[in-house]
Amino acid sequence: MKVVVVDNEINALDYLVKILSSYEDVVIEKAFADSVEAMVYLLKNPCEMLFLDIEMPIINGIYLAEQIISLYPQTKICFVTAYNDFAVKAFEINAVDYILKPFTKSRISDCIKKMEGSKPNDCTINSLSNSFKYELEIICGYNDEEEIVLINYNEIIYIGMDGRKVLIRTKNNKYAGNKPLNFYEEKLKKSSFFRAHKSYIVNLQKIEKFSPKISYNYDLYFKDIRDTIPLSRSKVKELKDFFDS
Amino acid sequence: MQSIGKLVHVYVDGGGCMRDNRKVTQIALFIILTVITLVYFKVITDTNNKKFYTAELGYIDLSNEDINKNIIFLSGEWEFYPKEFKLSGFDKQSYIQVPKPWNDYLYNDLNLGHYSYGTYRLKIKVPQKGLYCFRIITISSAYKFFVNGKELYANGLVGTSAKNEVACWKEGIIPFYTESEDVEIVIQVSNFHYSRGGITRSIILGDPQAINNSASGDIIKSGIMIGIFAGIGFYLLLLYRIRERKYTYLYLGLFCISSVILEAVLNCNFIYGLFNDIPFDLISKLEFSSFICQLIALQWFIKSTYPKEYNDSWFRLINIINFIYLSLSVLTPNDIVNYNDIIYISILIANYIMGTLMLIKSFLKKKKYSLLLLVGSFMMVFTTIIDVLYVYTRFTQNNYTFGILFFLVCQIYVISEEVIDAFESSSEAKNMEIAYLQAQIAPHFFFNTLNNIYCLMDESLPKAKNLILSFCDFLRVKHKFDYRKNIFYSLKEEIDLIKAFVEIENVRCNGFIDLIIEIEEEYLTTLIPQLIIQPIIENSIKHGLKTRPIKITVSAIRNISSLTIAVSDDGEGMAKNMTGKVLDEKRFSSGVGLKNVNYRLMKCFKTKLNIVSELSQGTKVYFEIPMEV
Repeated sequence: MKVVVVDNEINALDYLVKILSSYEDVVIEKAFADSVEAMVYLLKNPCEMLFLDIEMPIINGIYLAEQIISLYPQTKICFVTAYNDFAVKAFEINAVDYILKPFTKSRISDCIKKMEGSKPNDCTINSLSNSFKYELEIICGYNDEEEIVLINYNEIIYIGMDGRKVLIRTKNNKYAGNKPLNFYEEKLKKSSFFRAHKSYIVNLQKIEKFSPKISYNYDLYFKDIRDTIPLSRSKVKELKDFFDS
Repeated sequence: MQSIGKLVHVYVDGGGCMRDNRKVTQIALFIILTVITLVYFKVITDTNNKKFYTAELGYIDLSNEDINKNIIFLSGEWEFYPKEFKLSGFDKQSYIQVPKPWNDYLYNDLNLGHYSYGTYRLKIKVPQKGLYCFRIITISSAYKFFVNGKELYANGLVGTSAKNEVACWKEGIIPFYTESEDVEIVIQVSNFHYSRGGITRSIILGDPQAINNSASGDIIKSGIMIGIFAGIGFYLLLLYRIRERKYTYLYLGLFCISSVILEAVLNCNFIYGLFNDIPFDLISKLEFSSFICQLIALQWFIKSTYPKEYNDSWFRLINIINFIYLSLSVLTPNDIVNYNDIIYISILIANYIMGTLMLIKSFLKKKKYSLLLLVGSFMMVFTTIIDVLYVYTRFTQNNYTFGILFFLVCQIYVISEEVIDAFESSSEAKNMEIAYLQAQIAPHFFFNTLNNIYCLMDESLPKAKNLILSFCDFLRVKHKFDYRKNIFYSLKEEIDLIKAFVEIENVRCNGFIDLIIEIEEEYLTTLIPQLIIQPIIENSIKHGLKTRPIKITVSAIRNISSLTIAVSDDGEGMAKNMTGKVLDEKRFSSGVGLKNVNYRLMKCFKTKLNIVSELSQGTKVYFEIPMEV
């Protein structure tokens, strides 16, 4: 069985790798201490089994799992977490396997046995990902060739609805998102993004100015691109306060 | 049009700012009190359209008076025939002062006493024939009113003993038409119900329209007062319901409600307007019991406001007196206790002396708000004195009501301040709670550290041991930390804690954190609040450390009168991270640690956190602590 391990804590990673490598039928393909590297690798290289830490900077383990599952639904995922009360409860309800740190070897054995027999369910991970509180600094988007791309929040200018699709706008590109707008509003670095309109969230860094239109609505202008997007009248005051302070 | 600078300055909002609007409210209070007082003095000294005529030997000449313009108060020497009800045959030339009780009037070399009857007579000359109007506010307790021999009005039923008299204190508005310029007024009065008999308030004469206006003016005045008292009273009772055990509100609320009843009863028009055939005895009982309830509520109020200043035994004594009076006035017939002036005035004086003494005592001890309460109650006492002496003054009655109003405004101010303080302290308590939560070790940190120790045990026992030592150093300080106090220790201790903390974090983060301490030896002994820098470091690591190593520098720079402590890193930076100051507080959930530090800085030194940050350049967080020059 091809296994990939991701944990940003180097000691925990080493320990888990050491234990896993003692099983004959387990082949450790890769071990990552960096969630972004792991994501890049996993998007290209499917694996059979994935051991994932949840609390990781930049890309949360649950989001990573969700994206991988949507691409490779056969991947079996086991979360490894030190402490998260809410997560543990959520896992119990959703019956996704998880291991609490610190763990013993026999616990890993149980887990491997259980995973070999089980079928992953991407619905449960989806619902976990939506209900779970975490922050993301990198999200996945699809380019025109339907390939998954990683997009740093710093590059995003705005995310908006284009018909029924979610559109992620960067300086040079447009990507399609695979999660609803509310998801991005909640999960992207909160201090940086602002819901300017029913169908738009904008990166505050990228705003050049906003000016009123005749209809009492406002238009938002950006620094690097020529797009304008509407700003709800109810949000104007909030935004003004933000820039005035 | 807005544009955004690249460099971001963030000032974390402090939770415990001083209230700066207190001055404003004080000025507002002062203005309100001044206005009330001015209006009051304007009203009582208003002699516009009011003329006082003093009769000589039972005769007043009004022939040169402009009756249409002025209201005439008829006082002075009236003819008086004690123990007689007569309409004609006025021969005996004996006179009595009006307005004044007849109690001291000598009849057969004896005082007439309060319970008696008699006939008053006054002759006046009006400017011309025509329509005029009398207004009789009260004559205790019953009277018949004749003009030129014709009975025009009767209040109650006059009698020669308590048995055949029916008392009534309704106000009389009596219009009449006279053919001649000479008018003879005869008033048959009997009093077997009240401690002061006779005409105790001037009889008023004027144009019917003017008299009506002045009468309805009085009713309106009283209505306004009743409205104000009732409003304040219910507000206070409501406050009491909300804030259980805050009896001050209850007592003051009851004081207001008693004042409402008293005012309604004192201005008889009011109660008669509502209940036309209410018995006189009941009104009297209401009057006296509401009066004593008011005093009881007042005493309890003062006691609950300044519990320590109010001597317990004195309080008990005055309560016993008050409650005895209350029970007597409710249970016994009116003429035993209620109609006895001396008892009720002495109880009033005793209560006032006691209350004022206690307030003075609290004032001397510089208790909060005691001056204001003292001024308020002084005004109440002052107006009451005027009222008690009203017989001898020209002031209109019911100054008392004004005093109560003045007193209440002062009280309401104090209570509003208290309510505001309560709100503030509750939000402060919330801040404290945040501080407390913050002071606890993040469970995630705790478990991860333990897990690291567990994982390291196989690989390298010395490393695991070291980690345990660092963790112990860290825990020792964290556990000593009490969020309720600002425990100070030396900067060195904090630095040691930070070192331990960074060591732990480094085990987890692959040694990515490079901690540099740039503090000169001499500043290491500076006292600082516990855990004031560590949360900043924690924040730096959490937000600054991503995939590349991070350098964190802690420095201390001496200024003239302060020491600037700065934590700078070369991490990711916070960019347009507006600390959630503008976008709602909830957005900035990760900044609780910094908010807590800021809050404690405010509390200890009245300084605050400054944050300068630039994206991918790093963040600098600094604050000042005052130092002696």
